[in-house]
Amino acid sequence: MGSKISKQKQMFSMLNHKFSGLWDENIIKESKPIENQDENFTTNYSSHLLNKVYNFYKSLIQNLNSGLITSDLGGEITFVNTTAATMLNYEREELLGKNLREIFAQDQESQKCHRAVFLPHKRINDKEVNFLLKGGSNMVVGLSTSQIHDENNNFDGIILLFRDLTEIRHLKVQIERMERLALLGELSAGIAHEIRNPLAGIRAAAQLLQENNNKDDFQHQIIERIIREVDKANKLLKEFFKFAKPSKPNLKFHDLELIIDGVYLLLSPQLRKRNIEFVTNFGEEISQVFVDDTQIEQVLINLFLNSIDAMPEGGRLTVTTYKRNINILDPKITNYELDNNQLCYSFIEIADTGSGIPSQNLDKIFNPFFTTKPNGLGLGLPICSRLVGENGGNLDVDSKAGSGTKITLALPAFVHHLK
Amino acid sequence: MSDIKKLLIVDDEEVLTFSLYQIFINVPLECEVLTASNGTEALSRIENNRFDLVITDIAMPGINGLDLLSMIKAREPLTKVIVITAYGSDEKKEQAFSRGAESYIEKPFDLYEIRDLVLKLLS
Repeated sequence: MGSKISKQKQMFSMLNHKFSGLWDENIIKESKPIENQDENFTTNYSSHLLNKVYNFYKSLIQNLNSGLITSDLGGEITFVNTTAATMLNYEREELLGKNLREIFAQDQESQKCHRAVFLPHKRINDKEVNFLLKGGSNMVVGLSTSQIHDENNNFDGIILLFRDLTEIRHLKVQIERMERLALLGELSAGIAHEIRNPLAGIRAAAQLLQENNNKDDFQHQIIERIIREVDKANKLLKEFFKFAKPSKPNLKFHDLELIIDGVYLLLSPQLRKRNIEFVTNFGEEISQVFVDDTQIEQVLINLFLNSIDAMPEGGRLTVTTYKRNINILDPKITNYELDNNQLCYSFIEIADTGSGIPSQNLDKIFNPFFTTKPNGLGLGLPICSRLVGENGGNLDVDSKAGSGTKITLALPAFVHHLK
Repeated sequence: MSDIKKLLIVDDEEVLTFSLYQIFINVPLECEVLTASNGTEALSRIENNRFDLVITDIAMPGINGLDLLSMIKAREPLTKVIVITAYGSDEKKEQAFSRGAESYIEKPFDLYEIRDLVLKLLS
């Protein structure tokens, strides 16, 4: 009996020593009079302490800011923390027993990771991979792995620790885009000088030549073509400059619904001609937006025309507006003065029932000169996105081939008080 | 004062200067047309002549067209100035007018439109 008590005391003292940093000092104080306690008290107290340790680790692992999954050597998932299940859109129980391969979006990536982590002493460190969420969508995560060893130090399984990189990647893409645009703005002065000047020379010289020719002459017609081609090239350049270096917006408060109504009136003959029903679903509150109305009108005309083009056989164009406060998680990343770390935006959703955009094209639609229209320049959406950005807003496209396109514009409903 | 109108065309795009020169020497107006391929050359012409009208590009090596415009207006306020540019912007347009330009035209332009504008300004 004596040795049993002594063993319990030993274990208690070991626990106390090993985990003394993990909870508040009261527990440590409580444990001090141990020498004078009876056997039952020591057993209960050890179990209480073990429970504390267990709950501490459980809470630590479940509430980690990162997803944590463990698997055996066959790749079968043996543990999933709450964060991982939430990130992957599953219940924890649904993931247990699945093979790790099933959470990778791409087979190739899965095989590569498999090869990299299931060999002794191998690990992955913060690698960008795509996970497949329940429901079919993908998520970019930063994945790190480490190995689990059993009590005999044999390689027994792996731990996957991952964090959602969607927002970081989104920001990174935005920053890269801004840098590219700034560079493009600088380049456009050079492009203008080097291309538009010779174009001006060609056009003027062609007109001079034309002066000495009769209108019916073959030469006159050829020269006419030269002039037309010059004008065509110049039109493209003009559009390109609108994208590369748009004019500074003249920001004032405007009634968003009035801007939309104005655009509808302008395009209503085309909507009728194409047999397109125009539906508005305006929010109860009138949306005052702090924008350049001419630029936003230009954006809406462009977006409406895209929708009209996508519905040659008719359909429905629905415009919805609503207001929403956006929480700014990191106030340092915005240039605006914040009220309670929030900014108020007015949203416009433009949804059509047209042909939609194939997924392989979705990433490219904001690239200048990308077009699927026979006579398109491929500058419409890039200019829209640029202008909305210049007005302090954001433009998002959600589309699936065959099921229409929804474009969401977020426009500032606050005065841009720069810090 | 003589009835012969004096014109100066300033541009580093040789073909354009040549075409403008050609169109103005054939206008139904007695005029003398001089050309310069940059701001510095234009300035020396201005120092030695009194021009009725100057057509000047903005982006040129040396003195740019907007500074040249200011110098012309300071020297001879009655000289009419048409600013032409391959890279226009609202700011440049505003600057050109605030410095006294009579007109601001983006390249490439219609040769006959500019000819008609010059004739109107000189009439």
